[in-house]
Amino acid sequence: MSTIAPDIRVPSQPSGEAPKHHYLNHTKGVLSWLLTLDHKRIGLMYMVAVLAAFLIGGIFAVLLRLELFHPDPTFNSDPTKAWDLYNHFFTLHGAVMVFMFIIPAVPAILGNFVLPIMLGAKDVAFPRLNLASFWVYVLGGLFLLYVLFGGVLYIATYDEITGTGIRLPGGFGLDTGWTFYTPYSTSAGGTQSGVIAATMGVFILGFSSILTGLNFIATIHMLRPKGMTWFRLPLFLWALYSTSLIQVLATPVLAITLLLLLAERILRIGIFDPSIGGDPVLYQHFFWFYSHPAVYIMVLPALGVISELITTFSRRHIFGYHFIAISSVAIALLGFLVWGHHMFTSGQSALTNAIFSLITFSVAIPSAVKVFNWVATLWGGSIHLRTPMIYALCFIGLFVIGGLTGLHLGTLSTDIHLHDTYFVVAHFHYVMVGSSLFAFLGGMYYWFPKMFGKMYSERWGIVGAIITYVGFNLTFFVQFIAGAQGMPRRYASYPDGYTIYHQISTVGALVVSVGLFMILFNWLHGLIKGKPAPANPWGGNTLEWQTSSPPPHDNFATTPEVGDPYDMHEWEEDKRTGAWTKVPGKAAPAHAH
Amino acid sequence: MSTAHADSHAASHNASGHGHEAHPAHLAHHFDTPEQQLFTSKLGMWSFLATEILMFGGLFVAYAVLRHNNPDVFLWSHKALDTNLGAINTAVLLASSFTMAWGVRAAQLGQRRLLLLMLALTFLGGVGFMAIKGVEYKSKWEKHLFPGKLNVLNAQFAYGDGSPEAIAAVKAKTITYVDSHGSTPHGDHHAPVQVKIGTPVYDPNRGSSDEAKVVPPTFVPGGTNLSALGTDKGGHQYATYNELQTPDQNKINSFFSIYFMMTGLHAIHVLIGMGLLAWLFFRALGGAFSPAYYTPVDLGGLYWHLVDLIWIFLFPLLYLIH
Amino acid sequence: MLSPHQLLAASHQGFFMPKQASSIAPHVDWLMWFINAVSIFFTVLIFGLVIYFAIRYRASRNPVPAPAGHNNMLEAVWTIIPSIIVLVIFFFGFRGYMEMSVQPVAAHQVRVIGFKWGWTFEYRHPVDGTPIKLDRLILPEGEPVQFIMESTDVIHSLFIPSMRMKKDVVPGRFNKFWVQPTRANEVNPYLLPTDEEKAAAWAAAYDVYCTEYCGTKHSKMLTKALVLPPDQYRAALIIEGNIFEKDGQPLPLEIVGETLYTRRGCNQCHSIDGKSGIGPTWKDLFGAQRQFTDGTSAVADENYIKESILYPGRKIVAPYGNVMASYLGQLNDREIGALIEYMKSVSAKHQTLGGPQSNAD
Repeated sequence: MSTIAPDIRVPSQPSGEAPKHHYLNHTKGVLSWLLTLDHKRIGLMYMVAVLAAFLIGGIFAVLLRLELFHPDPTFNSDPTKAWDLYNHFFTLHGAVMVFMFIIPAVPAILGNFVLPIMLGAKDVAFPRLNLASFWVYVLGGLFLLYVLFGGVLYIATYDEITGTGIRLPGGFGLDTGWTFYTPYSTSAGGTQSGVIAATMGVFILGFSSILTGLNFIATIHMLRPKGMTWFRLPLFLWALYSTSLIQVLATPVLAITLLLLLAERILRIGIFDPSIGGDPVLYQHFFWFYSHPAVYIMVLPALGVISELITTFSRRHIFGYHFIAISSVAIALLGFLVWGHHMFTSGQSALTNAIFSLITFSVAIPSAVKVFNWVATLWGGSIHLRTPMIYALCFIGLFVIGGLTGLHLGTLSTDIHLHDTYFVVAHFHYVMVGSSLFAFLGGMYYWFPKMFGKMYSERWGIVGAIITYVGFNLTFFVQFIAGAQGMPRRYASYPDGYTIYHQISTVGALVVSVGLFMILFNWLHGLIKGKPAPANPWGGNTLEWQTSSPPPHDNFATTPEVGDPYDMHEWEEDKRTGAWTKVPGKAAPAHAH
Repeated sequence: MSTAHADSHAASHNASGHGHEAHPAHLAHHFDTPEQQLFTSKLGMWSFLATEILMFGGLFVAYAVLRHNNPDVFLWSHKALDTNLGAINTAVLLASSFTMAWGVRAAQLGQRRLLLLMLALTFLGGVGFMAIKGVEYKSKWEKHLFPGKLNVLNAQFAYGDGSPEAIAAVKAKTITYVDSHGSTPHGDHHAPVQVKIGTPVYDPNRGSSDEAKVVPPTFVPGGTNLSALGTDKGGHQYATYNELQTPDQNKINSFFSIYFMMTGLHAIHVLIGMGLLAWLFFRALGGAFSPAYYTPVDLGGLYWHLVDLIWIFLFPLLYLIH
Repeated sequence: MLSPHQLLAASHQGFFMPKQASSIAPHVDWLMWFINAVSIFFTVLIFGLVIYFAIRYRASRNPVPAPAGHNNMLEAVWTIIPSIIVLVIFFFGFRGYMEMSVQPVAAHQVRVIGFKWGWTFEYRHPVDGTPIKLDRLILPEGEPVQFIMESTDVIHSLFIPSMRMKKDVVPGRFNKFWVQPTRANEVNPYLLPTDEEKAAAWAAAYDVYCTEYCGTKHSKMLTKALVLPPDQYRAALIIEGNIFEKDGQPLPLEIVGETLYTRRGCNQCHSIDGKSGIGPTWKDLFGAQRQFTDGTSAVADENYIKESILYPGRKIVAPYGNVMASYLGQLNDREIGALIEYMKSVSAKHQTLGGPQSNAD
């Protein structure tokens, strides 16, 4: 399988002319993809799988919003059935979105593809583990999908007269919420029998996450080429490194929690269920010890992507590099100490609550530092409002709203009122969906030319971004008000007073769907009919722009030149083709703007 | 820390990217030197061990919380464990860790026969550990000292709907008051308990090898009504598991839940470790290792030491703390 | 005379948050608005800067970017100022929370029992101290009330938005909170003559929600909290305390049973109109042949009903699940008798019941 790399001087890859040999056509055949050890191909396989999961989770989201359009049960003439349906929908929406979409989205797709190239390495440290991580992801996903399919089948075949339907063994739906709170998830009966298969699935997905994180840590530590010092790492890699720390240190706690849950559910041992000697709040501690850091697994890589986008499209060196880099690590570490703020109302002691509240506020500081540094980077830049930059600017807005409403929830007295209301729903959607999703989409647009060697439609890219942004705010901003008015979350039907908020929200969700499909079609169109991409379509100075688009199998045909990742002044744009080329020795801009 | 290998990195980035002529067979294409590959593998292994420690860490926290909730129950229940067997197992694992470390040393020096011997001895240590663990588990099983619905004596499940009639029915069928003082003189690994209707009985005060230490009544779970029960020869009251109130039996469940989860998960790790040892043995038999390449032995050793280390924490927590 | 419509219009939604109805609500709302103000300031600041920079420094207008920048003074400023702000917020949040947590003396006590899917609120009779169990809350205006809460099955959470109070109801432990209601409801249903007016007055009382997901009917685990002046509160409890009598006259047992049917949450799972719910409907149940999951069957007579209330897991009617919690110790024999009479009144089959099964109590 050894190849001779194509003879091209990479930075001067002529635009409009793709390299003859690259990783996409390095070897052929289905198996060469399914069993590939190439991090770029694994990243693309992840992309297909994770986007499929996103589609499924998204369908559930729309179904939820449709049920909530009217205050009374709408999906079934039998209200009990309608409530059950709704409970299954929100559970599977949450579980699929969290465990199969947001957690792997940026690290497993963008991280896998970009990390080694940005670093200047040929691959991740453990390519086999990387492939294993993908297939473990697929296996875990199949467990969840089994439950999901079982639920759909049961509902489809449910007979109202006999009260029965076709039940797959151990898998007719899941209605515990993605948090699997005990003792609800461990108590028998009802339509919860999917608990075992679903927790198995999440357990397995966790290993996929651990393997990815472990791989990234080893790669960043050991595979940096000459000159790539820690403080020359692009900020995306700092973010991925921090994320990986969380994945490696927090996910095993989820694993043992789910193992205990499974044992309790199957054997009825007494760890969590108070009726057999256990402690139900212990489960919440365990769960949030993982799941709060997991929020940072979702957000930190997004913050890293945004740092790249902001600096590249401002044509200006990132402001306060060290502060952004260190704040990533700080967020990761502090994130381990705040899990108790999910349990202010659970009956834990006032002192415990106060400590968790105080530490929670400390996480706000590094997040604020990042935002201010981005804004300062824009100041005096030469801003190109390309599609990825639109996403980055939208991201800042959503992250600011999501972050600031975190203050309401971290504050003890106000959280008592807001806990488990739509205010929380809106807050975490702003942070996890608004921020992570927009950063993911922005990152996809940013590295799309590198991945596929094709350009997409700039105009439709921007239109899609704006529609999604407007729809998103329409969907979730009203939920802050609904929550402040007391609307509890996970309600299938609700008192009339909240109707207007839900109806606006549902309309917003449909607008988001339209925007997302526009994005998908733009990608597919670009993939098939897009113009060939130049090696460096944006003028970025991180190493992935020093190789061809798409890159060769070994990432670099020539040894890349490692320097300050954000010193972009030597790159010049050819206005006609949109390609940027490096002009060595070009003078830095003068100190005036 | 990573600059040592970095110097040679640029040189190996030749145009082919697959410099097989310069690379030893076991060196993957994306590494420059065998040292870099070894350190990377070790870093990966250490990261993995960190995940293992956090996974067990969850169990330790659960242990601490449940113990905090019911300190008397934990004091009382741990008497049922056999400290002697636990101590022997500790020694067995420590010895196997020693042979493993020796084996790694042998691999580094290229002493193939010594390596094989040490791997075999370490494997035998694992076998011994599992065998003794099996003896312990068997006695717990026979005495119905385990949680969950498989336990026919478990009140939550055996008593059906929990009505007085159902409880009475179960008790009539299985409960036999047995003064185990005479029948189990040497702890739970010796002669089986004499019972009338075939149901073994747990007598925590006479548990295992702590025979000499008669437990004062204050060690019995709070709220347990002992007035109707027997006294031992020392004049101390004691209760058998079956005679406890349902809530007390449930609390005792929580000790055995955590006991079996901790030791069970550990035992699974021992089994995986034994599998690794067997694999290493056959690879070593085929001459796969040399002073230039012994990474798998090294990593296997790290894993085995971790398994050992976890047991070092489990033993005092479960068997020793009074 | 208020129409139901007018009463419903007296909704408790205020501007942004529900109207305040407890002593701690002003503290919470004040802090909420303080954080809102901080949030709005920073949101406007950052949105404004981003939009201004995106226009002012767009590539066509500013082709040459400023050189690399970093400024430690600036970094220090935007680290320290937010730190101070969040510390201030934390402090006020903590202070408000301590006020919620520290229980004033001489409070009234309400025991709260959460179950799938309903609430039981247990009061003491103001005169003789006997327990009174209600499915709705009645609270005295201006006097602190302590809630002692437990759950018989899974975790629930009691939430009264107007009073800014919420606490999880966890099985296996007692959780507590207290409130001091400050705003009595305008209409006291106990002073109204007709059932329609009473219902409307209750509808205008404060909302009470379950906010911890607990299964199928989580979103129907709603009830009301009625706040009355202290003398009317006592009078209401005395009225509620005697379900077997009305105005000094004994009530027929089936009427008492109907009260228990709603008050003790039977209606959450058992309909009386023939619809299948979580459990079987009570319509035409009494006297009917029941088919159980273990293959056996029996006629539903008094003994069977009583057994099913006290030990619901013994005989499960197909195709339902073993979901119901035992009412052992929760309902006394007199109340069970009343429920049985009520079930008879909604069953067309009980008159035809004869033969050896009819050896009822």
